[in-house]
Amino acid sequence: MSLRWQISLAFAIGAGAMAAIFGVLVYERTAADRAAHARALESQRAQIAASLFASTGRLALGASVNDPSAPAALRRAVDDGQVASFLRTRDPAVVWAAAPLKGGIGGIFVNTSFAGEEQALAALRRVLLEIGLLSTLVIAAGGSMFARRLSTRLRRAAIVAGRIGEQDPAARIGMHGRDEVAALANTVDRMADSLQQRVERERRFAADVAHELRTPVTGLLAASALLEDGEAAGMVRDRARRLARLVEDLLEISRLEAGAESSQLRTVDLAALARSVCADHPVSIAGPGGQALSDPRRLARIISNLVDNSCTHGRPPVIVEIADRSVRVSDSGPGFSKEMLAHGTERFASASSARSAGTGLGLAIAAAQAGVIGAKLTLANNACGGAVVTISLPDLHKTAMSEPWPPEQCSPAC
Amino acid sequence: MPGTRVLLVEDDAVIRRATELALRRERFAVSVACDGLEGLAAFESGRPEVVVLDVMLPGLDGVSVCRLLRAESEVPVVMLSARGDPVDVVRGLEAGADDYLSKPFEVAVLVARLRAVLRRASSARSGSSTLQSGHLSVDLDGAEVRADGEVVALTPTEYRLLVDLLEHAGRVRSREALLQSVWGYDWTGDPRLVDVHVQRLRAKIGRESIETVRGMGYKAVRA
Repeated sequence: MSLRWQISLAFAIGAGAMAAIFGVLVYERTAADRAAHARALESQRAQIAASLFASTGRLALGASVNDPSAPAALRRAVDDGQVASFLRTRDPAVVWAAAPLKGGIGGIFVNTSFAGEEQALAALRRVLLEIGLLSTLVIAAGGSMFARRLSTRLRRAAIVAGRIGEQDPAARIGMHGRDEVAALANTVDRMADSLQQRVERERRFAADVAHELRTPVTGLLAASALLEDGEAAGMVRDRARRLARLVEDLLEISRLEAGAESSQLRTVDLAALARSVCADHPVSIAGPGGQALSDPRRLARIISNLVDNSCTHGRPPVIVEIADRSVRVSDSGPGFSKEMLAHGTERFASASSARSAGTGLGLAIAAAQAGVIGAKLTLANNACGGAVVTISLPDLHKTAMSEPWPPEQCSPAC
Repeated sequence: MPGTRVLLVEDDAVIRRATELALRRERFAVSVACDGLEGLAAFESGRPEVVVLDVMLPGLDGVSVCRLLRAESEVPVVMLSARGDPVDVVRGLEAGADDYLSKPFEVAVLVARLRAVLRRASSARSGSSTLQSGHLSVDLDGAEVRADGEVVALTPTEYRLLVDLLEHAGRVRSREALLQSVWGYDWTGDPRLVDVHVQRLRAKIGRESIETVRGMGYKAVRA
């Protein structure tokens, strides 16, 4: 049950119980007062009738002597010489009173209908019930409104907290107020701030390391090129090259993750692009071909990384399939492991043993580049077990054409 | 091209020395400088045919050096960008650089870039010896461009870009096609090279001579 309903229900139960207790008390008190009043009045009447009967010998005020229809308890009390009254509340509602006769057996009995009083009490019961129900409803509604405010704020906090965790680390709840909900929201915001700062620091650290490595690695690369050919020189050159590649890849992914990259859209012939990218790879290009509005350089980078990946980790034949707004690179190797299918586009996701040939950043870069051009990268294994990566390009034609072009390209004359 | 004079301005001692030795092996005549002022002085005294210029230099940085060189010479300049920072690259190109390489680079790639730049500088054309388009006339034998009769000083890269566009006047040239024909790049070429060079060309010969065809590329206006 949602918090809102729980709170509304608690308000309703509380209000209902209050109304019930109040109603019962008021009713009981009123009923007791009325009964006591009627019995006192009737007793007085019986005494007056008894003294009139004693002095004049006449029965007045509707009195009777030793009425056999009088309640037995009353008759016994009169026999004991007491003035007594008796109230019957139904069938029919009537109040009796009796006064003993001086020097005789029995007494003078009077009675009056109590039905009018009973009707008034029934009306009071109805009114009290109505008031009770109405106040319960009003208070429950008020509680529900209060709870709605509370639950709306809590829900907003929950939604934003979810966004922070999933795709938008910069999202903040930003709630004002001094209550616990605001305190919770502000704590979540502060936590997100510090998490974001930590992530930012780590990202910057990777970028700084790569940046600092640039100059020494460039020197190493240049110096290794000077070595006389030989086995040792070959090893040094190869490792220097790989180190340089790693530094470049780290810098590229740092730039991409910093989110400062923008894309330069053109109409791209996907098959022609794939052919030029794969010129140096043993790759066959298939599919009906197609065109897309995209950034050719970034797309080329993605295809190149995927093809590199397939040629290094997979087995031939490596096939690049081109369709309308999609490029699919598949090989006939062992395919992606379960872990790779889940986390393959994270940095250094592949097991270090599998990385001996690459930098471990190829897929991460491809995914980040895809993000810049609004494309989606999907990792899968095909029926024969080979790895399949699909690039799905967005349909930018409609949206892009209606958007203003960057100033540099806005008019033919500029 | 034996004995081509190259000036290498680079502050890191290992990169400078190793690159110098590697370029010598490729039979370039290399002079070196380790900061901007020394680089300018070496340029004055050595009159190199091509300059390799690091962006990050102590004191006077590479971008400023490039601007000062451009003020008096059309010598081809290849920048070495330490950052790969897009802003850095664009600033270098706007200051007049012909091409750039991001560190870390392989010397073989630098040599290829230098040869491509030098080819632009010495490219001799066959066939028709003048191109005429509107207020522009290009003497292909003398590699001289005149706008309304006035000689316009263009760098070899700007010149090659203009000739390419004029040879295809009235037709759209994609950035990729221009990168391939002027700079000799495959798909790895940076389209900003084209954008910045077109801007520089327009500043020299008039904005209206080259049209931007959005999403496609550039087009020389047919006279």
